[in-house]
Amino acid sequence: MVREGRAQPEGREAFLQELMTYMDHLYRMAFHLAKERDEAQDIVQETCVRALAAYEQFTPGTNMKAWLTKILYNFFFDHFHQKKRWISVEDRTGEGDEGSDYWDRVPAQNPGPESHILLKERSAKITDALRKIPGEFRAPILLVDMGDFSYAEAAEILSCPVGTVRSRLSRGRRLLANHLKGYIGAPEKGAAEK
Amino acid sequence: MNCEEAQELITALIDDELSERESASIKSHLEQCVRCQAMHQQERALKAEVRMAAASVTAPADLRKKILLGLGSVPEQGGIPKEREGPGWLSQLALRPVFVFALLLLLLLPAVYLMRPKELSIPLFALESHQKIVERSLAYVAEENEEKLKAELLRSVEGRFAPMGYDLSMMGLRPVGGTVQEISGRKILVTLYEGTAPSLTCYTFLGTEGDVPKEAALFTDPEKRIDFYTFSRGGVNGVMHREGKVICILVSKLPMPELLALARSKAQPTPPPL
Ligand SMILES: [Zn+2]
Repeated sequence: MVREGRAQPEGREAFLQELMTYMDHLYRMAFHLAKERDEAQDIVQETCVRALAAYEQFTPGTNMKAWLTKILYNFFFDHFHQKKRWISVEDRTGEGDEGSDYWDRVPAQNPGPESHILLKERSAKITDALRKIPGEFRAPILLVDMGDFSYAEAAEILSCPVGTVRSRLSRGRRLLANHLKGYIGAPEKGAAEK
Repeated sequence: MNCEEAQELITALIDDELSERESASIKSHLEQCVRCQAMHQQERALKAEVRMAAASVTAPADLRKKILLGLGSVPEQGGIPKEREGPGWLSQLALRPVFVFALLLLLLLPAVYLMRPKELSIPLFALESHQKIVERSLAYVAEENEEKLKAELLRSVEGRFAPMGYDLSMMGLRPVGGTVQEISGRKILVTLYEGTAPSLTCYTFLGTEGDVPKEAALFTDPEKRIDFYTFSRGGVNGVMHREGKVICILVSKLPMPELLALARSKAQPTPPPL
């Protein structure tokens, strides 16, 4: 129902201004969740529309970034009907072995000529690799590593226990590393020598 | 603890998410396990790399406008079907003239205004970023060949401006790598110098005196007629000056008088050639 009279233009305007400052963050989350670029834009637009519709439920001074991100993820899950799949994948076994000895196989070394590739290409590599790992492992990486959220915040956004964030993040980083052989890291000085 | 059990704790250690007890137990495992030490280091590098990749994705220029316009005009065209909730709240929004007016008003404001409340000043950001680079918690491209490094940084800003390319060999410092950072759509070229003196980073970006932090102190070099701005935070010092349209900030734990003297000796009234 329309609740006339409760709307404070100043409050809403301030809300919208703050919302706009998270545009890069929201787009980044959507970009890495979505399959296509247009889809990412749609997700962000829908998130903003939903956020404004629910504007009165937001408590000023609390974590708007996390609140918006939760709206974005909820929309993504709802719309793409992925929630069930994301939860069930954890039960898969066997797949776990692919990452377990990764760190043994990849030398902790500067990848030589490859370290010269452009920053842009490195970022594109990460983006490609992220797309290759299942959503339930990708999500905590996006939230914690790209979104700077704590495990507790990520758990709240994903509506799952904190322990699940931690285990999926750990697994996810190993899966990601598997797809990034030879591209990881600007190694510390002296680390390359055995 | 075996290495498999250590894995999750290593992840949480990197994210600073461990209780004291867990932290102590993983640290003691790391002390005696070379394999896990390597995993720890690699995973930390991976995280840094992912963080760097994050900055490369920014909202397309027209998305902000589209969002504000879309909210004002109630889009029903294609895109994502709204089968779950129907048009309920959309029509609610449309019923509020005050709301639409507020949106239109916002549309007229430049994006810069919208960004201002959260905008981070680049010089203060540089002090933070310096610390992260030196600690290796922020990835950079290792490149000791000065020319290649310069070329790579130049390309990453489509040749719009060049890194300063200072020769600091007399201080015992040489370039070992660089990266590109971005704040509010502005790209900043970073060169890392290391050697026998405290590590130094040089930040270069297009800017004006408007970028000078409020708390900075001004020093004017009477001979070169260049203004230098000095500022510090947490033991990290920064000296900023402008060469044409290019701003240069030297950041280091070197004592301020030394860092300022260094900046004065290197600064030119005009920027380095592309
Ligand atoms: Zn171990």
